[in-house]
Amino acid sequence: MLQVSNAEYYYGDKSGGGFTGINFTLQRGEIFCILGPNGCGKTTLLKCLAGIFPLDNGTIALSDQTTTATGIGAMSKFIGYVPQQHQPIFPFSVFDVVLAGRAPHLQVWQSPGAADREIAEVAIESLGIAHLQNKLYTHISGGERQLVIFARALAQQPKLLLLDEPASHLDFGNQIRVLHLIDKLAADGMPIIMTTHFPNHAFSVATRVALMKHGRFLETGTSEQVVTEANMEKVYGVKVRVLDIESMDNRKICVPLYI
Amino acid sequence: MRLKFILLLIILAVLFLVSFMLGKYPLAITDVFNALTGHVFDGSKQEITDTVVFQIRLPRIIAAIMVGACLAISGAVYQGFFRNPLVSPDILGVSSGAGFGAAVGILVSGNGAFIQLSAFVCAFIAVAAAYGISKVVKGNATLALVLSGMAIASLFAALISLVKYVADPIDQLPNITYWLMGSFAAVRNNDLLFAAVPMVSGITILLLVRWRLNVLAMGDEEAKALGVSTDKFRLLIVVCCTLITASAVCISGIIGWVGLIIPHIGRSLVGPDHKKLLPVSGLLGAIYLLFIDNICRNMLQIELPIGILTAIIGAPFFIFILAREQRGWF
Amino acid sequence: MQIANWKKVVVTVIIIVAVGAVIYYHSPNNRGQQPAVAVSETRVITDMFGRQVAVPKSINRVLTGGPVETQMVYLIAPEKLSGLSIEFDGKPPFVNPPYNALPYVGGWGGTRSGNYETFIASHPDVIMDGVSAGIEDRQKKFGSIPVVGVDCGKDLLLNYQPAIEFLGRLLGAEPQAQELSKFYKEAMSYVGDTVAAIPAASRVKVYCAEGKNGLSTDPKGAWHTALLDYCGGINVADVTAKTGHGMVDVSLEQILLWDPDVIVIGRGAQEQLYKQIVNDKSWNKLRAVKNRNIIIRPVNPISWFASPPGPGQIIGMYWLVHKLYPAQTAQLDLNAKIREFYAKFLHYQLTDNELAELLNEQR
Repeated sequence: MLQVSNAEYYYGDKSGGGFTGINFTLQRGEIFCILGPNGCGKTTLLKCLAGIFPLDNGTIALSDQTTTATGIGAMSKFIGYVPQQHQPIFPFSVFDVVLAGRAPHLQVWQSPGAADREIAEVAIESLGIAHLQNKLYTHISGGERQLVIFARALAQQPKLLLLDEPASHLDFGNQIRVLHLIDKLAADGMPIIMTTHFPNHAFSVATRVALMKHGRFLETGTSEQVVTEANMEKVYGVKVRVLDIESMDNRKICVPLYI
Repeated sequence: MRLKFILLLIILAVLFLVSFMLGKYPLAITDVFNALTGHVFDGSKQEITDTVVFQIRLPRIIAAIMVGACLAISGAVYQGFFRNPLVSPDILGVSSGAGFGAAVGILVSGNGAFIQLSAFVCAFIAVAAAYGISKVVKGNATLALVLSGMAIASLFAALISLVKYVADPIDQLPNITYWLMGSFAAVRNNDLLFAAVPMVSGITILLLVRWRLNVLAMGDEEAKALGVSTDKFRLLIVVCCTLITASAVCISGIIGWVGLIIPHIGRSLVGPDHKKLLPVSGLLGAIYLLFIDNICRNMLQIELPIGILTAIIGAPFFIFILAREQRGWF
Repeated sequence: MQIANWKKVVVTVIIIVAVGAVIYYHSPNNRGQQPAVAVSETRVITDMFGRQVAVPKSINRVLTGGPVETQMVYLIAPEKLSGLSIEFDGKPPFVNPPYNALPYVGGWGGTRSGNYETFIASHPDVIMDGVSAGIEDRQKKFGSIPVVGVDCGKDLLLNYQPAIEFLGRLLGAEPQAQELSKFYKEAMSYVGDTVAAIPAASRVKVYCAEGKNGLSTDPKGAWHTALLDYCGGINVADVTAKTGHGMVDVSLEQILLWDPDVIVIGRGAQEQLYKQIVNDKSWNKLRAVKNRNIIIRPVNPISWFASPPGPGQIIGMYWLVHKLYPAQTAQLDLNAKIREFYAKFLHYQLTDNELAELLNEQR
């Protein structure tokens, strides 16, 4: 479905931020979770996948049975991207922001019609933020904005979702609801790449996990294989314990030792 | 929205008709009406009425409407495009480019059409230079464009000073100075016909793509991810805005403030959605400049410089709007 | 589903174009009928830009496009002037009724403040236009009112003759024009001969102090100092080779280096600038200030020197050459010349007090 080979991108020279030698493939319904410390290149990688920055080296190929797309305009029809933070300038309404997700499906001179509005409404419903619909995007909280942008990505009806720390600004309830939504989307066949700071989120949804540091994947595998006590200490520099919760189907949980 | 739009349309229509009745030459309403509808009436009176209505009032009324609409629309587009509410239509150096072109035109020939053509061409050269320079800068394309626009604008401003320095003080210098100050007094009917083609085509294209501007206004990376911020689309926007701003500057000289404040007033009326904002800004700009120009030509026996009035009347109004606005701008 | 937007825009554009077309269709050029012009009452003349213009046989109301044209008409046929493109200067301006009540209508020569409708509403017989660029466009705006090109020349001082003759003929004021012409020619030759007799070594060095603090000046060769050049003064500010307009800023140090013999104070805040200069310690180091060789340019009712240069320079010539070279012009009865010029051409009898006031001699 998605094939990334030898991808490399640096902001400036190699001492600056960026990544190199990234290889992976992604199948339908997979949730690929990228873990790594601040500045390891996770976000940059997602931005390159989303077509915001062009790769310095390597290729990204997206195939959907019949389509192979590599240009920015063409990719945008297939890739939904939810950035970590979004700084709004003009007071657009939440609905208008979600509606913007329809852009890749419209010709340059077209504006959204009734069908597009319906799609946007469904996306808003699915994130449970119908009550925000007519509010101004500048007046809602950071977490609410993250949900709105998620809705916009859904309105885009993408073939692949890129989520940059989708839970970082959310309250506890919304975190769980978003993870649940991610799980459901994947179950319907949507491939998802997400970055996260919470190893526990990897345990709960990821089908595959990559550990990233200094712009490289250190290790790729299932969450059980990758999120280990040794690996966590290696990338984050903190001692953790990974425990099984017997009362909950042997679910794994990662607990820091110091606090 | 629809109601506000229709209301503005009615205001413009009424102001349009009223403007024909206003002027330092006293004309009866019936005579103006007869002249406009092509009725033939009493000879010598008709002759002078025709001159006043068709040679003096008509061109400047139409020009004020066209220029106001163009400046306001390109201001609104650029503020969204650059995601910066402090941007005005001449951000990429179009005004100083046009000013330089006009100054050179005045220097080498007094011909009005040549001056306008030269202004138009140099406006495009300035913007093309700014756009070209921004392409060689790596990083944020929007920021690069603003910075290279500023550089080009000051370069052309310096070139204008240079031309003024060598210009003949009797014939050419006052022409250059007053061209730069902006005025509708000298607009000719032919100017309007020539300017109408680029203006109408530029505005039509901008209106057609206006929904996409929303996406562009929401954020650079988002716009890229949604496939909107392509080089092609950005170029289209810059070309159309330059087309209409340059045509406006060509027939009226440099008139500030309109392109900066009208979009704000538009946003306070209908919000930032460009689907509504562009038509409303266009109407507001037309109404505003027509209103100001009526003051310019009616308040005193002599003409008042429109550039000064747009600021004197616009600035307090703008501050009032900002202070009243609950929604916030940033 | 998206067609609506596209349609709306196109329909709007079509409506706008259609409205424009209807108005254009109704405009007079498309009506196929020309207004009847009473040919019998007009004559065709060639104006000073070489244009053929039909003007009324008798011209009684005149408006002008710029200051110089206003002043020329005021000198030659003041009763025909129906508005001013430059206001009479000075307090008091020494202008008698009814001319002191003439309205200021602006123009497009100096300031671009003329309102076409104000001009038409004043029902002038002709409009004198000193700027050739765009004159045909203005003719269109004025319709059947003839716009007549009057070229007062670029080196104004040396070139008044053709304009004086042309205006005399056009306005039917030949005798007055001939008088002015005679006075002008006499002044030119008197000043020219006087200056020619002065050896280069004894020419005086002059600094023209302008601006608020006197540190702006019209450099040598500037349009605004043509009178100074003709009257044999050496402009010390030989700072740019450029001809034309544009004051330059200079430093006091530079002026000290030049050490002019005479300082001419520009129009504007003359009184104040004079006081400022004589009371300032640094300025007092200058020879011209120590000797009180400071002269203020008369401006009532029209400027004698420049800003703007105009026919006031005709009397200004006598005055300046006398101020610069009193010994060489001892025979000249300047006061009589001034009285004559004012009586004949500015239509005002100066009293002794007024004359002193005009020359700023009361201090």
